[in-house]
Amino acid sequence: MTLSSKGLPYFSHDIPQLIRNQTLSAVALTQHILSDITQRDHLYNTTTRLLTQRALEYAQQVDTTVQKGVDPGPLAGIPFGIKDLFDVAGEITTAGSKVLANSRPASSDAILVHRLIKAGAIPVALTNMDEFAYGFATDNAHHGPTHNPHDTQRLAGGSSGGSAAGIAARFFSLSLGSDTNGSIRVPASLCGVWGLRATQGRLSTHGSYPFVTSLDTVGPFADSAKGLTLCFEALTEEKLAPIDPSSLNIARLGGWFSDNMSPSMQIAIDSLADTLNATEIIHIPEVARARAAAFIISASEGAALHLNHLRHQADEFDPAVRDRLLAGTLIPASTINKAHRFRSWFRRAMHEAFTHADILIAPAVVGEAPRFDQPLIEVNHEMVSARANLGLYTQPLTLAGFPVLTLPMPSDGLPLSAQLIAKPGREDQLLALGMALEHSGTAQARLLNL
Amino acid sequence: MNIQQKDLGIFFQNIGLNVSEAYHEGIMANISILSTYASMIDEFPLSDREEPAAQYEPHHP
Repeated sequence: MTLSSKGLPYFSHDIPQLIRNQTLSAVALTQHILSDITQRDHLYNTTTRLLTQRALEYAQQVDTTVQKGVDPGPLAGIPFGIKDLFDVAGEITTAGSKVLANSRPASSDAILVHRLIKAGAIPVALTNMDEFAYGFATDNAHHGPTHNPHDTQRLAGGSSGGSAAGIAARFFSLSLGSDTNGSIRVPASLCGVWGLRATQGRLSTHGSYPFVTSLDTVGPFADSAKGLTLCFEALTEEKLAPIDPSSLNIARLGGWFSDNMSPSMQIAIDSLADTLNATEIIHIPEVARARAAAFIISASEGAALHLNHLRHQADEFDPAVRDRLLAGTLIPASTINKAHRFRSWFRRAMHEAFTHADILIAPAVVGEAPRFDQPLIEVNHEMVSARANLGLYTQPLTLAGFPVLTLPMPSDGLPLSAQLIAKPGREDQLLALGMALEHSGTAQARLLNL
Repeated sequence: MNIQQKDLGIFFQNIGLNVSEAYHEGIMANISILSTYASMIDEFPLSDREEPAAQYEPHHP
């Protein structure tokens, strides 16, 4: 493999060793990536700004560190993308909006950005997103839509679509996103890459632009389970203890999570459950209401956050986001309060679901990525908005705050992914199982074959 | 959320928003969706002692 071809020719977990033994120069790899994004990203629109100067400075630092005989860090030389809601020193954090375009540039990096750089990773670009992270499509009125690299006539998913699609297109092998209602899990699934929504509160949101503080999480995407694990360890600054995946009790979710799947998703989920011997089916009560509560909390908190912007800059919003936020300003306080009370109730129901299981399996989305010209899908025998219902299976789980791994499954057509859900704080189990499934060929990221 | 399009102006005025009527149709479409979800929450029987999860911890309290 050489740097003369298009895209990243290496997996994330291979790059640090190649850098350490000087088979590969971080500067050469970074130059290759920056050039490749410039040449090919017009096809996908995954990035909004290149971080050329900083990327090359950090790459030079990594190479110099290696030449001095010092270890350059566990993520040495790995290029990563950053959703444009994380602070990056010297850049304006726009959260994908013109509303913030005249804000002051960030004076320092968000904590997660800082930790990846500290581990030797190279920040190469800011990535496209739905405005203010309010959407499942990454169809941004200001920057345009991000196209799915596996079929550019289809959605990449959102709201962290640029971060997921940039990995599938092989522009970078790690990236940062946020997940309030499914904004990591949906695009990870549609683009066929690994994504992790960590336990709520486990990864610091410090230095990221909020959407719904009650539900917001931030986290990583990766091109491999191994890479995702290395990235998670760097983000938490903790080494995960070894886990024997064969010791885990795995069950699958029924009811809400077994209805409405496309035939291809049904086959993929059944196959995964068979492989994992997940014969027990668990029913979580009131899932539809959990989704409703997540909707209410999101719309009301998002509206409250942006009320002042709506007073003075309503015309500058993405029209779709503006209308959602304005509607959210009118939700009665009593309903919002009850949604938060219901959340306590639902948390207990989720813990009960884990009484006899360590990991629960569910589909990530109903099926393959929708086409841009396919506005409707069938849910419960009704034709409904495809975009609004991309979060059908992710949004209820959001309410509980439990960790969820998006696992890309083998399929003949476009990418399909499962959600693997664990108890709070047990990302170690999810990542150990993900690596075991990757090793056995039961799971694998779908990256462009360049 | 029993809100009619003709009343939107007064609702928004109450919270200091001056919203163009050109936006009203799109806003009403979203209000319709939110009303369905609000009803699902409002009608669910919860104990008076169920506390809101304002400072949310997914772990057992």
